[in-house]
Amino acid sequence: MRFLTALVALGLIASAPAQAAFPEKDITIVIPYGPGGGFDTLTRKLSPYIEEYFREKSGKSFNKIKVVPKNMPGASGKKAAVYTAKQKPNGYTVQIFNIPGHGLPYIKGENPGYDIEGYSWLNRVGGDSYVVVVSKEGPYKKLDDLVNKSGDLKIPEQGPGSTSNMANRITWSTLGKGGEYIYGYKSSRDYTTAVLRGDGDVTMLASGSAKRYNKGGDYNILAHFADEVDPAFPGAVNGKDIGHPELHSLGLLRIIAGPPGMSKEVMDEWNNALSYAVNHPDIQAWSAKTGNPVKAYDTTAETKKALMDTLNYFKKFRDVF
Amino acid sequence: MEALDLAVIAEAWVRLFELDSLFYLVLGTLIGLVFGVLPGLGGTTALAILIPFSMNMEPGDAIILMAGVMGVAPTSGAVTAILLNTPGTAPNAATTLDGYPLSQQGKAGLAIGAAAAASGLGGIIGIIFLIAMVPITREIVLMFAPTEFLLLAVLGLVTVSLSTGKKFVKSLIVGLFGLIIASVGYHEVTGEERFTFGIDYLWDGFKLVPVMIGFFAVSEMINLWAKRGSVAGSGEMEAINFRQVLQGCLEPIKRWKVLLRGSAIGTGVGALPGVGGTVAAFMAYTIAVTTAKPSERDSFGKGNIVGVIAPESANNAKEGGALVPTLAFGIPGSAEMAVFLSVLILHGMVPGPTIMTESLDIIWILIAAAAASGVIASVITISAASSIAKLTFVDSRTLVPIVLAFAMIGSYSLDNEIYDVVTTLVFGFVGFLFMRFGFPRIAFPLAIVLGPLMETSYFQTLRIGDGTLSILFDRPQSIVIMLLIVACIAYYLKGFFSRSDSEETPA
Repeated sequence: MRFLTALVALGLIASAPAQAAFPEKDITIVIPYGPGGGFDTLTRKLSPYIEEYFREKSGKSFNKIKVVPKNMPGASGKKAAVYTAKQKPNGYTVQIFNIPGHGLPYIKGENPGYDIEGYSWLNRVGGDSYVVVVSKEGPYKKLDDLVNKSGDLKIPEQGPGSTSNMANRITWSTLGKGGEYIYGYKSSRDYTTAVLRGDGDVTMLASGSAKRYNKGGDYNILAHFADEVDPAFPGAVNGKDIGHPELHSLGLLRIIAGPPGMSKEVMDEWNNALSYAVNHPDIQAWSAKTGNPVKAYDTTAETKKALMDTLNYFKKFRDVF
Repeated sequence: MEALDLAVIAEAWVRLFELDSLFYLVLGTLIGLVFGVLPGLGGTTALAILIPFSMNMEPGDAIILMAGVMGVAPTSGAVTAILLNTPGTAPNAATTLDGYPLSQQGKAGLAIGAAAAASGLGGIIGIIFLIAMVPITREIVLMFAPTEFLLLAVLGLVTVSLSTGKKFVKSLIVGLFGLIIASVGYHEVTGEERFTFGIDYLWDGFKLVPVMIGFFAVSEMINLWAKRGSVAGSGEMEAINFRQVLQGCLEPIKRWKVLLRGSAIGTGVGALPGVGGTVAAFMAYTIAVTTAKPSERDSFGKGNIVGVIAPESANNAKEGGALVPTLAFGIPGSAEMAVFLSVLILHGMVPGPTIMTESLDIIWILIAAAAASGVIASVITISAASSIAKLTFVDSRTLVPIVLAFAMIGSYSLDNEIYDVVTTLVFGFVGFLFMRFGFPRIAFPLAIVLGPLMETSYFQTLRIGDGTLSILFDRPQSIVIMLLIVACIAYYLKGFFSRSDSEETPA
């Protein structure tokens, strides 16, 4: 009996390891798209600083732990989301999510094989708002010019279901204007160039992309749907100016999340690492130089709220998608 | 800053010959060489793998490393295309058509020499083109709308169909098969799923690289295994020597018209966003066939050296061309460029019309490094060719398992996806059947690349033109391409009717 007790005690000790420090091995950040895009660039830029945080925290200068970005493109991000949902919730596999993109099935009431609400939501690492872009050489100088155009607007776009397509459809239906979508452009850069070339009248972009693409001054930004219009877009109106402040909810969020069921300790550790990386002066300088919006804020609860607010706002317009 | 500021250009070259720059250039070239030789692993894979390592490097060094990789991969990819009928990178597929028959005749050295020289010279011509385009990149990108892409895709399919002569009908069947394969998956324009049968893997359609590895490499290995013996068959081992390689090097110079035309096609096609090196190489090949004297056409597909020079010069020249839209608008001209774009952004450079003013120094370093790496690559390939060429005499029982292993690893390592390996095997078998029953395989890769481009551009043209295709006749650049299509058909028909003897075709 004493032997049995000893055995049980031994078993208890073995099964309750002394608060092992996270992380103890390499970490994977899944990128749901191929190399080269905004999500890929941001993740790869942040990874060394996340690694630096974990190294400094461990106090060992030769900490071998690596943060490895892993591209998993496929099915508009669905493949990666399904993969991440199936991983162990131990913090060693997390993913960068595109909101509202990954929430489209939730918005439309479809089952994509993952539950967007179930993930362990960590800090938001980037967020952006939308702008309305036209060619400087074109006939449209104000947002009203677009609304008053006879017939539908021609809008070059990536495809149905893309986040900018959702933004366009919500905006133009709110403003009571019909849109004819020219799909098939490969990237936001591609369809913005299409506007410059005259393939269509107008398109919508994340404000960071708009700043990058407009360095040569080829475009006019007619509206910026944010509480404060960015000084980089002189002459642009916002939703409040045109009586539709609700358009400011048209957001684009870049959030890191892990599989459902991560422990609070590991999530806190992750949030600290993400805040460290995002606030690092190198990252902020890079963000300012390239126009890639990188913002550190939100606790887990706030992130989840921002996420659901965005998704529920888009959900109201599910009939126009 | 003036785009063609001589001080900046000179500074870039001086910088390139600093010790650490040379180190990165040679390192990049060697990495590119290895990735280029291994079937399935091309410059794109090498660049993607190098991204994390380049992050902490100084931007100039990172660009030099990447330029080294990009300059060499297509050159070394020709080696396996010629020796094993296994394109090292997708664009080298065109080189197999005549390069491999040359190997079978024991003339591998000649083919490799010609390919290396054509690649080096083509690359330099491409870079010269890029330099000339630097001041007017913006205008070029704005000239090409979906209307033009539609017509260019049609031009590509027309030239490839015509190049197969009397096997025209069989070629159409192969082309249609390619178009069907290309249509699998979610369609961006219509938002519909086609031929996916509820399988998630097919949602994004078949991936180009696993399909190509299967269709060209695995099929050939099945064939070789069935035949037994070695690639070179009864070819004499003594026939491959350094003299033969040197003789091959002179071929592109002797046939300078082919070289220039191939390079021009390469740079032109490369400069078009989304149309990559595979199209450039096959277009150069088919145009070489259609513009050859009717009496010479018979020899294509059976080991005509022109069939090596044309695609290889185009393949390397396209790098210079592809940099134009990449830098000017951030629209990648090829798959490599899409990855390279992320390197630029990572290092704080913003591709777009202003990159010429804001990061001109880096652009010139890039140009210098790309030009230098092309030359280094050719020298390495030429000097090592005669020893690499001995691979063709290895017995199939040894060779087939090794190549198959590389093909499978290459296919798997793309996305660590086992279904890619299945795709490779399936298309290997399909490619073998096409070979076995005498179907010319050349239309397949072009259909698979151009099919989606043609379909998307067609829908876009309809939308832009309010439901009609009449805008095709409103734009001068469209009319020029339409005239090119008509000219190709007319030129071919002229040759067709003037021929009295029977026509053989490249397969």
